[in-house]
Amino acid sequence: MAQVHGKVGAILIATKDCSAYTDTIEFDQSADSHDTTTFGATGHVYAGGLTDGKVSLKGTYDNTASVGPRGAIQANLGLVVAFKYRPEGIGTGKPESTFNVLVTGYKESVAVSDMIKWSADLNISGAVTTAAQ
Amino acid sequence: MRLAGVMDEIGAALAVIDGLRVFPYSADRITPPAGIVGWPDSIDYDMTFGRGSDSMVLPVWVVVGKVDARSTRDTLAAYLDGSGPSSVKAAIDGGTYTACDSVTVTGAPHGVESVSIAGIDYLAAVFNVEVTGKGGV
Repeated sequence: MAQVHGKVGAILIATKDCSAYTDTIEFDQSADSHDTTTFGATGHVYAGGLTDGKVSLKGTYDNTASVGPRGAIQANLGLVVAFKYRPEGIGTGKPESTFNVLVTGYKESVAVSDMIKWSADLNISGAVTTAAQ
Repeated sequence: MRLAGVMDEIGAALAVIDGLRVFPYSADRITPPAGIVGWPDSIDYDMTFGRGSDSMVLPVWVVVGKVDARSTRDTLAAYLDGSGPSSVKAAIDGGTYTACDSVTVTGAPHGVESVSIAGIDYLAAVFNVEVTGKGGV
């Protein structure tokens, strides 16, 4: 096994590959925890519950209509769409997480001294399937 | 983004300034007034995933004649203006670029300085030009 540089990361949202306009992916999974401790126990006992998660994306704005951030993300604001997360990039045998996301936020930041930046917040909807490509 | 193509296109943009002799490479001998597109000061690869974009900062030198002449002051001042027919910023920002996505003159951080080229002293301004473009093209 080996360490992997982040530059190869890739995402597809609503089947559109906007990796080339993205510079940061935060893939954050969690699960509910239920305390099932009963009298007499000497330590808390927990049971797992529903999984949850969110994805945050950031990048440099590009006006490519179809797969740029506006076409791929802003156009889907408020909608549940398919998402693929490929932390090691594209390639046979490399890991891939597939799930649906609700697009909850899209933001553009325009500063006079920088390129236009964008960011997006996505809530994972349902289960996450992780497999090799 | 092809570096030589970017340098050529910046040079072509600079050439709209009347009377300015443009060298889209690091010339070792010039006749003033001259505009020289230098090698990048820095190149940043992998600004986005999958070789999506790179960025670089190139210096553009504008060199004029005698250091102490008033006419030299007037000529160089016009090149440093933010707008107008001799404005380097207006010329480069307004250029047509196909070798990259975006070209912006961000400043002349070192102001005006005396330089020596082929043993001759000139007065020069160095402009910083920020360039971004596709990484995999």
